[in-house]
Amino acid sequence: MSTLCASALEKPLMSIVKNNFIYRILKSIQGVGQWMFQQTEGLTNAWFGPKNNPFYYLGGLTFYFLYVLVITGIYILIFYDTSVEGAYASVEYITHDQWYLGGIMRSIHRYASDAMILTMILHMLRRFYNDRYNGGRTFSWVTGVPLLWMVFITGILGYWLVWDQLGQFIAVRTFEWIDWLPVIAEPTARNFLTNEGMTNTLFRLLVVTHLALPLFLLGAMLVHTNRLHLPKVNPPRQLAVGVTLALLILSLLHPALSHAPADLRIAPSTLTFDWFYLGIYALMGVWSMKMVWIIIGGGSLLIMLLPWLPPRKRDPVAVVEDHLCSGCNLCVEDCPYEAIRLEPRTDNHKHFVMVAAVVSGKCVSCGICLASCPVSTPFRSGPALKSAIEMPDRGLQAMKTEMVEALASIKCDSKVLLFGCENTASIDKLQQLGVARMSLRCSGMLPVSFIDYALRNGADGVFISACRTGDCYHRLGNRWARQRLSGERKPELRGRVPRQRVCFHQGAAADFDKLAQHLQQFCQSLKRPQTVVANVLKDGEQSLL
Amino acid sequence: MKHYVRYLGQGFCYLLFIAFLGYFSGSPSYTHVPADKALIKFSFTHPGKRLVACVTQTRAQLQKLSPQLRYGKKCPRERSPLLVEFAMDGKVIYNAKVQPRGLSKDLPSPVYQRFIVPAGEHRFRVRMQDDIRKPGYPYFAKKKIKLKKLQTLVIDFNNVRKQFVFE
Repeated sequence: MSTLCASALEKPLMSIVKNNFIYRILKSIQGVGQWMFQQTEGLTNAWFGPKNNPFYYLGGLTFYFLYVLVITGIYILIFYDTSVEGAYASVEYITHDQWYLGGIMRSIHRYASDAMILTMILHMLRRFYNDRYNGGRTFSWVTGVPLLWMVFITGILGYWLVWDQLGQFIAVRTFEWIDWLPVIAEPTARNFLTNEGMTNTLFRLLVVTHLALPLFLLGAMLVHTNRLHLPKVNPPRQLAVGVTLALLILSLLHPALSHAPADLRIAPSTLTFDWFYLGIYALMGVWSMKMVWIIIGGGSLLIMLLPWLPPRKRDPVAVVEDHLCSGCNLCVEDCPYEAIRLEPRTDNHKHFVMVAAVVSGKCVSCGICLASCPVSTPFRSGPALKSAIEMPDRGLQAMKTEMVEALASIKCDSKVLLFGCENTASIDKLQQLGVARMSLRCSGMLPVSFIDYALRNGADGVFISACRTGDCYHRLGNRWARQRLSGERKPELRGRVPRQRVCFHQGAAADFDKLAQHLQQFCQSLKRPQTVVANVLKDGEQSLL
Repeated sequence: MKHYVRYLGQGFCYLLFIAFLGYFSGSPSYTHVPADKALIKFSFTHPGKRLVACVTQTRAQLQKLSPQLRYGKKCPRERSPLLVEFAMDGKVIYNAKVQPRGLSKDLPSPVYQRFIVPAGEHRFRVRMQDDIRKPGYPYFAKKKIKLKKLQTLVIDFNNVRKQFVFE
């Protein structure tokens, strides 16, 4: 009864959410941004290849820039004088007297910190536009906002430590901004009224903070990726070498230099401004401190709350059928969000000691685990076809029924069954080609035995549409699907399945034309078996297995 | 795609990366104080007078209290706000009633104001009253100062000598 009520309520609820004004605005913004990213990524895919596409490694590049910052920072620290009187002179020494190493280190340190902001912002925007910040990714999204703050604070402190005119400006304006908060009893900016008021103690405290924050930052970045299986925390070697060379070239062409030494009797005038970090200080010159607090504080809060704005219906999470589970661990290894773990059995099973268990808070209902399970096969008979791990709203039996109905509906000469990931190019418009279509939450949700079943029950060919290589909506689904088809991952496609009758296409949502074209070619190739449409293509965008 | 086109594309991306970082890490420049101006920081902290005078408690009143609360005098903590006025060249540019900080309003009242003014000679006048119940301004100072371009003038209040300081 309760299940009936719930399902009866789901449709009106989704209707309300989707007709919501905020939801529609959000989707429009995301649509524009997604299109822009996909066009750019299409180009970078062609130039770098999906394995080195910088847009697929924005998080990994951020980690990498942090490592560069730590290494260059340690070198600079060796020569840095932590006193108010000596700080500026020590930085000038490494910049000019030791330009060939210390100067370059300083410049790389600075540009790597700028690059870190750039990759973080792009990483965040890309997640937002591609709608990859809610559900199982909420934790990473929410923990990412304080990371941004920590990077900003660390970078700003770094500028401060040079103790030149820019450092003086930043120090005074920062404390003037903090002093706006009514909890501060005495204005802290008064510490910077006169040169005599500046103490080594305060200055050294800032140095220690600048050194300690990156350690916290690294820890927080690991927490940020904690809930992800196989997170990309390192960029590929080719990309790492490329950005390092780029930073080196920039450092040689445009070395980081200091302003005049700080002197609190002289007001800083025109400053060379690092807009990656200091944009907020320009806002302080235009708006009141209160307004800047509202923008920064309110903006951060709004970004953190985005996964719940507007509230969305959550799909039911995966359920383990204990009596069918052998504890083989395949679903645990495949889950992109580490939402499945093995636990000791409590049912005294004769043969198996472990059983899979779903952590409902981490499950995003992608269905990848359904395809991981060796029990997920439509060839089994029985009154109720079930997998050991099931999606309650779309179980194995439902999928089989849907596939059988789809096969019966094929109208064209080449009987092709198309399995399409719902997060990439829409397969709805392919109806005119006469192929049977079956939409999946992720290409990784398709048990490979379904391909075998379809080919043995009337289909001439099976076409699978997945997200771009390295850019799966559910992180790893397209990778697992591809590996299962090529026999690199269990459960693999059986050897008896003729490979020329199976096609695996990978492309972005914006690449509908390419999908349609590839599908047509595949249909034609089935009529003329001697024709090879495409072998595994070099750019990894599409492949005929 | 041909190899050289891929390498050219990659080179273009790295060039864009270098150009973007190189430009926005230092441009456009930002002007905090225009070169022909000077900066005045009018800042001090000063505790106002207590709003209610201390009352000597009678023996009978003390007996009603717990032993650790038996002080001879009962002193309400709230302090008076400050009345502050700052004028330049005869024109008042800051006039405020500054409330004391603290939940019980028992901490000093802070003043921190910054003014960007044209460089050159100016006449300054500052005055302050720390007891709102009394008329007038007991703390007063005026001075004529020639400000250099980009000079920072600090106007503070010395709480020991009870007078304004121009630094």
